[in-house]
Amino acid sequence: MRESSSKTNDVLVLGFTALLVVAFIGMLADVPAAMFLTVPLMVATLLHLSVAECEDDRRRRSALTLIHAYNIASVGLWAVALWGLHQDVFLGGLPVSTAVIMYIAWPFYTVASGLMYAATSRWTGIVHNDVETTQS
Amino acid sequence: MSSQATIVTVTIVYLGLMIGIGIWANRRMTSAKDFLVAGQSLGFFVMAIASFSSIQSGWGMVGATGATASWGIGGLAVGILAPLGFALTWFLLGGKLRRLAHTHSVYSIPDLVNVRYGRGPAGLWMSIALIIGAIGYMTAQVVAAGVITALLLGIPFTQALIVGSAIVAAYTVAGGMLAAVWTDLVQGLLMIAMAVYVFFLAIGVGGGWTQTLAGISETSPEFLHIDGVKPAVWWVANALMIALGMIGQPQLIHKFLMLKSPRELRWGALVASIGYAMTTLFSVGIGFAARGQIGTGAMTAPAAPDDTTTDFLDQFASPVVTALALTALLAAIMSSASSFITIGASAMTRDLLGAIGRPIENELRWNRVASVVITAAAVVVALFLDQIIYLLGAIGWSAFAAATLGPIVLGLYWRRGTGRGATAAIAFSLLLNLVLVLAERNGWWVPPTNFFTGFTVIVAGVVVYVVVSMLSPSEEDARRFDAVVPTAFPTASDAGRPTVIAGETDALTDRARQ
Repeated sequence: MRESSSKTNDVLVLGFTALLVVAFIGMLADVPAAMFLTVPLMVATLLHLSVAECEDDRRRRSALTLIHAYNIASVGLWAVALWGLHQDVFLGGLPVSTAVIMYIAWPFYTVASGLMYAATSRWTGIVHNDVETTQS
Repeated sequence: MSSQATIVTVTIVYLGLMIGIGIWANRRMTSAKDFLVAGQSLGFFVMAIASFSSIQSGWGMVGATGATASWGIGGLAVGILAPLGFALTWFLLGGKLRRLAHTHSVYSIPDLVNVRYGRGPAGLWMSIALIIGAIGYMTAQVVAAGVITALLLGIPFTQALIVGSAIVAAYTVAGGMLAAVWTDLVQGLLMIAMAVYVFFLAIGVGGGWTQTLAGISETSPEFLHIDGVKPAVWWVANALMIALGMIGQPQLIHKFLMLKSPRELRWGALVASIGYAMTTLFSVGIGFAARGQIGTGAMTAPAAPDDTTTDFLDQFASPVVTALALTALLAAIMSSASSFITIGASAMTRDLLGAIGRPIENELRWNRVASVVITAAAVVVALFLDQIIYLLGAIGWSAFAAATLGPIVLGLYWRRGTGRGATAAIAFSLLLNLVLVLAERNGWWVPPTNFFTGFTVIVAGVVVYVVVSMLSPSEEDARRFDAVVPTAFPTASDAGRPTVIAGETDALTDRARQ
């Protein structure tokens, strides 16, 4: 593994662990913001970790561009859901916080996440990485 | 034909199909590799459907439906972020696990631990965690299968439990993971079809989606708010337990060891996510519809949340539709059970005995024997040790997640992860889960409403892994990481590298496993 990606992985793993602890404290202290905002950040950290070892800078940047766009949308959804917790606004028959989760976040995570993997796995070469196998 | 005769016929046809697949798989069974990882022969569609099918269980469909009717949107945390969990699993593990499986002949989760950290206590504790978790999961599925089979066949619960368990054990013993995966395919497609149909049926009972929501808003508005019945933090903790815990579930991780080529990875996440989301419609439909009908007095609140599905179908669906829906639930249960029989059997024979220095010969035969032992143990626990059923079921998901998220998922990326950290994480999270569940169950400790045990255990597992690893650095573990953990991506040094013949134990793998 490249030394730079090893250091990047170190930062990402420790960062993910720290976010988990923040979320846990948020749960104990009943502070929704500490959980709603750490969820998309944890997802962002793990997604970055998954492509950090790609040695080809161009491929890695292409994947990260798409991943960062996805993460921005993800943060936005959770931020709106958090804001909507105490609003008396309804959307499609549901309180806005619930509506954002059910009508937007649920299909977003269901479809966009898988499409993102299909794209990035091709760009980074994972699906063509058939180097090692010969059946005995 | 009477309704009961139709129901019995549908059930027998389904169960007969499962046995038929087991017999077909048995004829193709020639080695432990076939039994444990389906000969590493799977294409993406079978693998993806089998993946979501083995994750979606009685807990996800029966449990989540009852929870939705009882807690409203609070009960749907399980379903809503699960698709994200599939994508994260593919991102983090897809490429690496497939490559590890083929390079180092990895056929089980403890194999992974041994390759990453060398043979030692980490692999032993992982084997123990898998055996306990497998029996726990199996017990919960066996009980659920007994309830459903009793309703379908009109026989007493005890007989139904034994019949249901015997059938899933039969096709798993006969055909191992090959049978489990192909029955998962059939079960997954059945689950999707019935979930979509039941969703429209259930929502139709309330006069459509808008009317159903309006009815709930009028009688029980708190059910539509994320923080209406349970605290918002509880909902998020529940959702995180599912999404992060998904990455650590052995029945999902195991599937990556079965793929025939990396090309099969590309569309798997999308197919698995959509499949699972579609089956969540079952809980959304019946959960919201039942809540609406309970609010208007048209339906009596069930005695227990888990009775919501059967009570609702009994009152609002025809007997044939009810039979098909219950058969889909039985499919969800069996698809999870079959994976855990195989995983538990492997942990009991290949992994545990290997970890204590007593490797077995004729793995195929002993895996089959262990499959029967795992199933029998689950049946005994279900029938005779009632107080422990809840305990063992609760251990399942979060115990696996806590044991694998740090040591395996992060461990495949973090060079500083050590065997000591892995051992500590696996042992500590298993014991913590046990203590917390016992304490709550026996009233020794009443957790606050915002506390969620499953998420707590996962956090503990990751923190212990990271902290103990940092406090006990190991040059040997770091060198082993450099030598054996592959990158998922093509590298400049791959060109011209000699291929490794799967099945041969090369010097690298030997040293890695010591």
